[in-house]
Amino acid sequence: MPRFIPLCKQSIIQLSRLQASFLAICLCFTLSVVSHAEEKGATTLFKQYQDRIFQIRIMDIVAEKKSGLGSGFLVSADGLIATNYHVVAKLVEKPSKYRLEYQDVEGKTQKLTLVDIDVINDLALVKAEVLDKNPMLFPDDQPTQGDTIYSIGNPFDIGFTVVPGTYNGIDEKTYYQRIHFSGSINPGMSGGPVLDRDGRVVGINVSSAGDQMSFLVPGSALKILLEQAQKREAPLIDFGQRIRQQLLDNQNKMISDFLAKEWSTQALGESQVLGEMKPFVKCWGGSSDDKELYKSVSTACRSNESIYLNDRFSSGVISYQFFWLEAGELNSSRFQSYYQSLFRRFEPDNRAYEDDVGNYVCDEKFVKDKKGGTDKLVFCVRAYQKYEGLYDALYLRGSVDQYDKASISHFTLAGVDQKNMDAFLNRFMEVIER
Amino acid sequence: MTVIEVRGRGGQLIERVRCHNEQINIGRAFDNDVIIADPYVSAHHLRLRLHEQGWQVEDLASENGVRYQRQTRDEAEHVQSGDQLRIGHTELHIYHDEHPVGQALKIDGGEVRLAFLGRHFIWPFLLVISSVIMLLSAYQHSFNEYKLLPVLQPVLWSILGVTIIAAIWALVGRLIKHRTYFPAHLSIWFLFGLGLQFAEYCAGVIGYNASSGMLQIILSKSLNFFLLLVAIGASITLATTLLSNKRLWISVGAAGLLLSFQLAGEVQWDRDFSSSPKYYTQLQSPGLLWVAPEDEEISSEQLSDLLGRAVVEMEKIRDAE
Repeated sequence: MPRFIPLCKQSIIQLSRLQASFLAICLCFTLSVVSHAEEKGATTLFKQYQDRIFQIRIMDIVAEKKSGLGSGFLVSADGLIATNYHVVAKLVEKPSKYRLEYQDVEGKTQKLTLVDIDVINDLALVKAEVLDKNPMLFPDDQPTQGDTIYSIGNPFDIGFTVVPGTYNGIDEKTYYQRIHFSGSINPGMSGGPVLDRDGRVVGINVSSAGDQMSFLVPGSALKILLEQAQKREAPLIDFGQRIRQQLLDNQNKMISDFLAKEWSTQALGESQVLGEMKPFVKCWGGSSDDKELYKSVSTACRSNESIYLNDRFSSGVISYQFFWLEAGELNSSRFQSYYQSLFRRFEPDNRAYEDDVGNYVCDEKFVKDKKGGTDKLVFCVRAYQKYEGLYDALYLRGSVDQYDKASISHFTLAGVDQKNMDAFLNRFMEVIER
Repeated sequence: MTVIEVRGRGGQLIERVRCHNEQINIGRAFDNDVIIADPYVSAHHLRLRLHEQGWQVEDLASENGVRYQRQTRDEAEHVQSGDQLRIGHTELHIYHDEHPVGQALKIDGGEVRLAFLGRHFIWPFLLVISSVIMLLSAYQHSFNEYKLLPVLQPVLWSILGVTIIAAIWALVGRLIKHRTYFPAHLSIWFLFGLGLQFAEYCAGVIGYNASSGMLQIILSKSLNFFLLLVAIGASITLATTLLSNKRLWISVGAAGLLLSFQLAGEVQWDRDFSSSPKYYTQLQSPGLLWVAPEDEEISSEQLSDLLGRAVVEMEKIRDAE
């Protein structure tokens, strides 16, 4: 049996965002599908702006070798370069092990320092000492759906590339704002700009789901970060504290927005469960097939995007799952052991390992159900190591009073504080009925 | 007067012969005083002649000769009471009839009672019970179609495992006591297996009702230890001639050693990081729930307490790095 996240698409997005899966998608393919006229536009654009676009390199200090690559572009006259947070994340985690530099189109390199980060929107600002060039500008208004836009970056370290594609608007189904771009973004292009026909920054390359389906961080998020960085007088030193504050602010907003929405319930078997809550989660459904002797229906809802903190750690996720099970052709003893084995297999919906979190501790008890039945309730939390006051919570509840029917409810909250955990937990128990 | 103790291969006692003659002939032929049924012994192998201090040994030009295992170093072909000779594959122990013997052993009630387990209806009965329980549990844990072969395989492996353990004990008994008690060992270890399953089940149900995964683990480990102690103790009683207090200490030691290997792994697991919760008890059948449910609520105090424990747990992982 697989894990209970039947969200194949989702996990692909996760992976490519990680840059861990170097899905070798051939770039030639991308270029061959665009028309001749667009190719010409792309060439002109690239020639005009190529001096403001860089390859960002994370260098291992001891080995003196590249340890990570991304793209970036000049956004201010005083040498600020924008890229993705996930490009520079290694440096934020281990500043003594790595240093930053850029290489421009002509092959010249220069040292960079980290100036500011935005983990929620996966953005970072780095600064070059001397960079006497004109910065790239942001458009006054967004393109319309269907407009051709141009993604620039250095995929797989093979040299700068322009990839034309289509602007498909802000993805309405994700809480973390992303522009849906129909075009191929590949590893190494992360942090590169996506320009409209006038050469203005519409968005920043961030992730890909493969097959010409890519996502961009809106330029507006970068504009906000840029303003914050430019207003700051003393340079930012404690990036850990900056990340913690961003995570705290984000979960405050996300959970209160979630609680402010009306929680619509829907029937699942004989139980009443929480439906899809746009734009926080997307839901999938499943049911048992003919081969299985028991009957089950389930629904699983999960945030579309998570906050990347490092290759092994993501946060900012809300997810919930419900199962309704009936014995079907199984006798009650076989059904019970199926149900028990299912209950054993729940896992949290965000990645985290021993460098970033502690082990889960759990409270478990038997509770009365609204209809007079009895449930077993397991509530587990684990604390974040570097971001004090933030936790992952896992809620698991199953009915224990019927021999031939059962219901399971589960939710994961990743990166929440006590107040928000408490509020979400109580609302969840109030609304769900089996 | 002379007593000759004849022992075969592996030191197994064959007979003790009292001889009144001053001259004793030993060999495979039927006209000897002591007849040895060992094909490596010559028809007329040797002659013993009694004199004041012991016996004079005379090799009658035997095929394989005579080897001496004497308590005193003596150049001459001369042995004293208690000395051993080796001819062919046979040991001869030579004694005067005044040679002292040790005190009689008290009959071991434990051994007699345990030997009852070797009766030929007990172990097949336990084998059937164990197999039926394993098959039923496999049936219960199959949610799709029920296929016989994959279910039968682990059952056969378990039976083989028990048989091997019993055979090892039987071998120990054979060597130490010249008694195997194989069926009795078989019964003991089948009972152990059944006990283990029952203990696991009880620990599960108690832990579930107490809502404590930790209690379940402690309970199951203690019961494991107790069962292992009893089973090892029983097998030692059958296989060795040790006195009861020595048996107890050896069983405690062996069970403790085996369990501490297991616990060492367990402690490591407890310290290790896991990306999913480790300690929550599993569900049980509705009929096995005895405690009354509480109100549907997790209070702010409970939550604070839980988060406090999570921070302590996190610090353990962080500091271990």
